[in-house]
Amino acid sequence: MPYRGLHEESVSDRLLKAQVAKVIFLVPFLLLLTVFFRYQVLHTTEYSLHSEENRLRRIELPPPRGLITDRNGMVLAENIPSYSIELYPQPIDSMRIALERLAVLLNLDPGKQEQLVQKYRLRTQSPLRVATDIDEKTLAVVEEHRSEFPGIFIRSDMKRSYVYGKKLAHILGYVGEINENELEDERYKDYIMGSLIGRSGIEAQYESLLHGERGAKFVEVDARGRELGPFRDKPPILPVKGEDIQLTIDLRLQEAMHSIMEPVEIGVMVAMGPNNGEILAMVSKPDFDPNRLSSGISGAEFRELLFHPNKPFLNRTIQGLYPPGSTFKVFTALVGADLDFIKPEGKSLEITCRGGLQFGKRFFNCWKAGGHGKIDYNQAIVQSCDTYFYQLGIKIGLERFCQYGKESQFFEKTGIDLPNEESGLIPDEIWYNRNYGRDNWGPGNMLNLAIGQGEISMSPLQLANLYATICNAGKRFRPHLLKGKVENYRLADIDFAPEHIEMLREPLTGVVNSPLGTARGSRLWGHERKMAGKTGTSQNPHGDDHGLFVGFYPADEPEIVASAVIEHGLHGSAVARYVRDLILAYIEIKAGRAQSEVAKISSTNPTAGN
Amino acid sequence: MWIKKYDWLLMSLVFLLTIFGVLMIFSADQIQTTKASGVIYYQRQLLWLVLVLIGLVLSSAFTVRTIEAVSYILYGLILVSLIALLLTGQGVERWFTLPGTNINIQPAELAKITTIAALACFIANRKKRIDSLKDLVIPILIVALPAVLILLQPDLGTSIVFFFILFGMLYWAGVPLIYLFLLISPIISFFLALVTQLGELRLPLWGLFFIFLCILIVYNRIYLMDAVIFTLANLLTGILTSPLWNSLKLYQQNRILAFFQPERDPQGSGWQIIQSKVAIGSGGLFGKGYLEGTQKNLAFLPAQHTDFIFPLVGEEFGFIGVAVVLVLFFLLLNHIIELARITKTSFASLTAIGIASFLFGHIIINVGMTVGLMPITGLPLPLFSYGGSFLLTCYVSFGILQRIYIERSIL
Repeated sequence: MPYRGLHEESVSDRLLKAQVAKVIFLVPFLLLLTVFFRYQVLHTTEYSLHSEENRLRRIELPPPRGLITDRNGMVLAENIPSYSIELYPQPIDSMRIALERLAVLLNLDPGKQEQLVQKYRLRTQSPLRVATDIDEKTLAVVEEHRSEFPGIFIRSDMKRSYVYGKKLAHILGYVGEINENELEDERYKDYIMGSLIGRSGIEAQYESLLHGERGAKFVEVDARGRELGPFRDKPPILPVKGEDIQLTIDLRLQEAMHSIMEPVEIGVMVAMGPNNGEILAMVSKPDFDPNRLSSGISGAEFRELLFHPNKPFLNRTIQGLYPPGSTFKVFTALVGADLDFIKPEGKSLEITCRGGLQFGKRFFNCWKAGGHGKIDYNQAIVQSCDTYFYQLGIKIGLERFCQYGKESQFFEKTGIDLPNEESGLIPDEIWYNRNYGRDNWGPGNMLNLAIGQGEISMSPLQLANLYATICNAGKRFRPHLLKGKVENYRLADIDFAPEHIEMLREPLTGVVNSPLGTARGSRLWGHERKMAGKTGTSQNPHGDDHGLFVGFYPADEPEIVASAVIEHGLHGSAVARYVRDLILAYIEIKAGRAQSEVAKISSTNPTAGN
Repeated sequence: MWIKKYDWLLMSLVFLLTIFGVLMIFSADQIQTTKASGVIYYQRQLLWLVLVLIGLVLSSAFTVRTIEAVSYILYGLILVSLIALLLTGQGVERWFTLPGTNINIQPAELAKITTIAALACFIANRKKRIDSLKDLVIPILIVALPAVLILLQPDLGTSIVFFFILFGMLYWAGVPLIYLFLLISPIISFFLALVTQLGELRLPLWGLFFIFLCILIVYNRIYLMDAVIFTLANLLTGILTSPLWNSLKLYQQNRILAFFQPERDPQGSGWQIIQSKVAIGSGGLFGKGYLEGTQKNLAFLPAQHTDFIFPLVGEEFGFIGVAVVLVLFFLLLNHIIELARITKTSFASLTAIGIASFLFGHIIINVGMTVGLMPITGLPLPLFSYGGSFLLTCYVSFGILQRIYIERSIL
């Protein structure tokens, strides 16, 4: 085919060439149309769904936690606003620059910055939380210089605040973010990552009441995750606030108790109403600041608290077990009376204390080396004569004594509404055989048990509960913190005759108020009504003995029972002063005086009484 | 006045598409992020439209003879400016800023028209038919020089468009189709070897292709020299692809694969494609309605004023809208081919085909990219995408086409 140049082509050649060209152009167009037809007509449903998901974001609305108040409605735990700083999704490099700019303001060292960048890498579509719970000063500075930090966003949240800090640490406990193990738990199926959950104390005990129901709002977001406004077709689900809880705690008494216990390194005091089982105040030392724990404590700080030798997280009122010492003599006395060794009329059983008792090969000392001489039931309690109770114990016998101890249920968990309560221990033959071997113990162990020493142990709350029942002529209530109907907490009466219980009132009053009483130094001078109680010393093989005291007031018609244990406090008589101070505070509060004057109360102050 | 002699059918198609485009830019303006930035693109585009219309009228004022006469000079100037841009620029440099103004000039845009004119001029003035590889050297060079310079900017998309120009015009010049096929055969070889290498198909695809190629060469009685060159080129490509590929680091391999299969990288380039497909697919048959697109409204669509404006059409006007735009584009191209067919002057006829080819390249690559058929190269869609330089290139082309139409019967 000779070449004739483009302009010399025949019309038909041109036409053919043009037709071919048009077909070549047409084919890709048809291909494109087919593809668009596939996406837009055949598969449009999938893409429409995807498009909805793209722009709809569920924003969880955490429920406001229920408030916790004291018996008078004073707020103990509330929710306060907290602010956190977030950065919108942006390229990694911009993120780095933004973090560098924020470094000075938010104390982000390079290591922390890199950590945040790595965290962001994992989820580049969601905002990066840079700082939580920032203080108002920082907030103001950030707010003011907002334009200098591109992509910054200040999110407002609620955080738990414990108004009285460590004063109620062991009662209220604290909250924390739920962890992955808990999330798998059936009970927490409505929780999500970041949900707050009670970690201890009332917060944990009443988690289901306090938590409330999570809500959500639906917002439209753009491709960078920025919220553009509410989603038109989906109204928000409003969160339901958790229930408010009223406690039996009397804040003023709690504060007084806390300041009384302030000088104590390790110790416990708990006060309750004998007629209803209501816990009025409860302090365990050492304590911790629940606010630090609830607002993102550092790992190091948390570990320091957790592994501190004094165990500040331990609520010793329900988790500390001590041999009750002489405070337990009231129980031995009750058993003695029940077995008719002691009779209400004439109060038989008199012995002579010569500073101890020979039993088998061993001599059991009375705390008073010189002996108490001739001593009767009342004086045996007033002066806490050990010899008297050794003898009574021998009469009762170990088997019967332990039987009484078990049946009394005073060593079992009181059932207080706090998590992780420990039960006490009253041994029996089986226990001795198992722990010591069949031949390695004898009836001599009974002598120790009779004076509350040896293997026997109780928590301060169980001890208080024992005395509350005695105060109450055998009517028993379950100790509790949640304010509710008294009937709900009524338990079966104890099996001791009311007149046998009543026999204890005179000597227990004497412990504090008679010239020979072991707690005579803690008498309420000038007060119309009397405090009664019993001292105790808990033998401690590891160091100084622990001092115990259980007191109640007024002696004739008790309204408050308080037990206290001061570790390494040596003697119950020293501990009695702490309880006396609490009773004084109680009287003062009852009289309607300002709590601030509690410290100034002297024994010369007249009291309003009942 | 020469305007009276315009091809008004061509003008109507152009105006229809342009108005559609401005409407889409207006729609893209409604997204919140753009609103917040305060830039109103559609107004700027309208302003550009006034300027490019003047450009169209002015470019249609020069006779075809004048354009032909200055085509080599203009081509040379553009080459110089492309080189200058590479030498002066640091990193990515695609434009000069006119001193004292903020008007940017992209030599790559002007290069399209001047290359078309230069190639048309060269072919039109040849006395011999182009039917061997030797004859193809100069035409290939004319196109490859600016294409490579643009590739170095780097602007892969625009340089690919130059191959559309080359192949379109060579075809129109009468180069046998077999030669055009042989020219791109090494590229096909490379892809088939790669696919064979990756083992995504169990067939030795490249081997089959090579056998087919040999048969084709023998059957068409290609010049021996050319036959040897084509065979060797394909053989080398096929053999070297595998070791070359294996010498690449894994991330380099992944980057190349992601270029051809964006879905492989859903967080990176694939994200755009996925969002683009969601916008298009969710449009359905009739679309969500003008200004009602939710995907574009939330800026899920990246670059929706420029490269990704077509998914907006798909989302708001559905398949119907897509079909209308594609049909209009095809009618436009069809009309230009028709113009080339009836034009007697070789230079004018070739120029018209060159213009049709580059428009075709832009349309196919841009639209194909939005549904993942083509790699993301950043090519604008003619008459739709926001941007003055490219709009000017198109309108100047249309001006030249108008002049060709006016002079169609002058010999």
